[in-house]
Amino acid sequence: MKGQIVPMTKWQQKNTSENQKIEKNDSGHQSIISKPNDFTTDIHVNLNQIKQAIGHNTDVIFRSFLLGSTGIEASIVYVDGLVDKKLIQDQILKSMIYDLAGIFSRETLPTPDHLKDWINNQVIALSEIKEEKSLDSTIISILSGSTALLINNIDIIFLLGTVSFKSRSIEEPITESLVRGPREGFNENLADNRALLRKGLPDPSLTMVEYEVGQRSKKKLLLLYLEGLTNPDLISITKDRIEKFDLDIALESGYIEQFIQDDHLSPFPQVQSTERPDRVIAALTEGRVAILLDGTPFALIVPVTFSMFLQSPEDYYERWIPGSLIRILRYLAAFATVFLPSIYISFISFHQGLIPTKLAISIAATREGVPFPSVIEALLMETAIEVLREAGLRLPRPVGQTVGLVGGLVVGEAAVKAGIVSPIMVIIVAITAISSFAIPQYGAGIALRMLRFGSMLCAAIWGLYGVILFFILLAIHLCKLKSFGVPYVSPAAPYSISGWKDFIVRFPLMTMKNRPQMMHVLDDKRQKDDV
Amino acid sequence: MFRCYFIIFISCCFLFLMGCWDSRDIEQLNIHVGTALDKASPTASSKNQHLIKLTTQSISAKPSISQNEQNSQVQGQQYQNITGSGNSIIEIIDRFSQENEKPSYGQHLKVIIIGEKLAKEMNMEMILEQHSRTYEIRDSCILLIARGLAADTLKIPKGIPAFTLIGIDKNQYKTSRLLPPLSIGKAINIMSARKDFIIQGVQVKHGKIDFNHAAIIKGDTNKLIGHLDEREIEGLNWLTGNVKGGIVKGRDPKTNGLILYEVSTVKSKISPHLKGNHISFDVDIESSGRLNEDAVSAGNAFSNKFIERAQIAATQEIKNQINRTLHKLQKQYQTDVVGFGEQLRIYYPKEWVQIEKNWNKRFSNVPIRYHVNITIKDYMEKGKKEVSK
Repeated sequence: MKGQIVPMTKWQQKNTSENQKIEKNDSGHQSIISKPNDFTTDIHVNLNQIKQAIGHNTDVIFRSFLLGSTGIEASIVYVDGLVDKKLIQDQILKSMIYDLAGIFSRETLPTPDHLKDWINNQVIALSEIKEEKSLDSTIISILSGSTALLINNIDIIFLLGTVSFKSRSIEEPITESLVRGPREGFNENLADNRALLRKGLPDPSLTMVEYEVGQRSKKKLLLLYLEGLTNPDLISITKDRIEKFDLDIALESGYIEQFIQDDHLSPFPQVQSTERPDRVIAALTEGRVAILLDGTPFALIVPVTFSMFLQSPEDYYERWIPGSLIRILRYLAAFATVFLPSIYISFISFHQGLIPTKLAISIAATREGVPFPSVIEALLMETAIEVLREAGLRLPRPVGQTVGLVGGLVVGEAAVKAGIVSPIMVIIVAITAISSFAIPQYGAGIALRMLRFGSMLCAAIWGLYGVILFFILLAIHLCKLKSFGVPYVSPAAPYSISGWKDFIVRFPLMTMKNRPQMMHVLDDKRQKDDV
Repeated sequence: MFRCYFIIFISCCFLFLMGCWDSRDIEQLNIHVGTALDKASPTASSKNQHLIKLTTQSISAKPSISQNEQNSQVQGQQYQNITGSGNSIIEIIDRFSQENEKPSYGQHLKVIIIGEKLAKEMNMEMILEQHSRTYEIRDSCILLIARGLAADTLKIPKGIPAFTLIGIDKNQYKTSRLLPPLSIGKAINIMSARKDFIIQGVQVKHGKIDFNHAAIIKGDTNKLIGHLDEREIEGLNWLTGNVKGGIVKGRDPKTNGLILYEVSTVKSKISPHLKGNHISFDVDIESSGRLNEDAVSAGNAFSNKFIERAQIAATQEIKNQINRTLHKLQKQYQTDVVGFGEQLRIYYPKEWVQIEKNWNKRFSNVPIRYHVNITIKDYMEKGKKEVSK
């Protein structure tokens, strides 16, 4: 089923389009007509239909009852665990059984339409109530936590919003913790996440477009942007890409990221994922588009530039001088992550004259007796440290630390003592590893670590010349790369002076009066000019 | 399309400019840090008479830490010297490859010491021909002349001799008795211009290095013709304004007590005068510094009179030094290593063309007036001495 994901700013819209889909499936290519009703006025038939579809599951509960003294048969269907049982008891069963009894009696049976109105308007005190005619949607709704209310003589099904799932409380984001800044992060519940953003940005122009992704998972996906600010082209590109792909199941926003990114072969991430609402809000006000997916705390931000991966919200929360210095430090760390081992290799194997004499002599002394050429040594150690990192990550926290300690200290020390690697190589590898962790975005860190091996090979074959060639190659690729129409290395290329205010150095906030030029926003004033 | 392929082809060719075949790990190299050049000792067969004996110093790898723990007391020599002789330097160095497992590597060469005997007999430009031509040796490599055997300077037991030599050569800011370091690049320039120049000399005394003289190299032959001693070097430095620090030991004109003046800044200006055929020079030397030590019992630095006396004392001493130096340069060696000729060339370029030919002869008779102006700005933390009753 191509194009299962359908925009549904209104429920109505969703209904019609889904009906069209079903229409197509059932009877080939039918013209768009109003949807047929899957249900009859006989409650038993309806119940049987549902039972056949999902009745074999033990967690699907069928509860039949009579509407007070009217004697009209009614039934509710829900999935145990997904619904708030107290709500069902208080707001549905009680009111249906008792309250209706006072209004109607066996003698004055209401007409089905009348009853429908009454239930809608006076009986059920729930904020979400929906009439459904399609069996498939009914079943999906039940499975995602709604309660279906079936009443004899009424040929539609009421879907009552009783979803109550235990969600994680709002906690500090683990992957992006800050010294200074809000301590709240997204959780797995889309409603919570949406609320966090609304709370942080109570602006009427904040627009949320809802989609449904995953043929089977039926996850809700929110596309957020600021209407009247964000470049409409960007919005339409993003919408296009979201609507285009087809997925069975979307467990995490990473699925979405991989479908909407520009270049699949590039080592660099072209979509930013974040756990921090403040980061998303900042991106939205810069004219970017955010994507939230139900069931994951990671929101996506598009488009991104390379510099965004080396920025942390803290850069803006701190005063501008420390903020800038720390940012410069991160750029250095990023450079060291990719190039430090390769520069070391090329110095050791090709350009010994470029090392200061005394250092050259001490390096030569420490390398005396090491059986491997420097490349093999470097590859060995770098691989070892990557394995260590991975192992430490997967293990439970207390064990992970032990592994880090044992691996880092004991193995390193032993390797040096055994004369397999030189102590300076251990220093280089350690500095490289630490530098790579100074990069605030995990995905970007992985990309750079990956490239490090490429540059090491180039260094081993061509020396510093190869490292420079590799750098040029990388620069060409980065300049070519675009994320949702925005050049990846802007504002460096294409060059814009105003962009440099927030690039390597973070200028004082007072000077950043305009939004980033590369975003081509409709309203580029962030501050009044005359202030 | 052809263009596109051509660019790809060219780009691929770039990859072969360098490759892993050039790779050689640092510990496999014999890193030379110092080279001594001497006259080869005469051999029995006169046919194979070698001209040059070359000694290079490289650092021997220290034993790795683990082995060092047991025998940390036993610290052998940190360096090793290899010697060879032949007619050309590259020939000798090539010969090393037949005797050592590690190939020679010259990019870290720091110092070249030339023996006195060799410098007297052979044109310096010829000696340094290979070192100046190759791109492996840096222009910043420092040149020294050794009294006695140059190889001996690389044999002192303590530390790494090559590093000791360049370390001392950089101490100019602490003493006025050292010439500014002469790098091989600079020396080659001077030699090509056929100018007289002076090289810091070094001597080994009782297993210790002493920078106690300077060697004068005559420009037209590029051979060593004589030496200046320490005090004459000092005078030369005052003339050229190359004093960066150090002290002047003067005598108080009144009490004959020692007065030590510490130099902080020196400015020297040579002004040539040409009147008709008569050449003369004025050298204005201005220096400021501080009173460092005085052995004058009633010396009161608070009084301007004493400070004036101290200034006179220092001035007198400096004048003496300059006088000695000029006498030796003009009368004994007839070489202009100070650069008077250069100043003359700058001020009177047309006349210089004629003067240049026999400048050295004329230089020996040129009157040179020098004016020394010392200012003591500071008497440090002590003023008046308490005179014991």
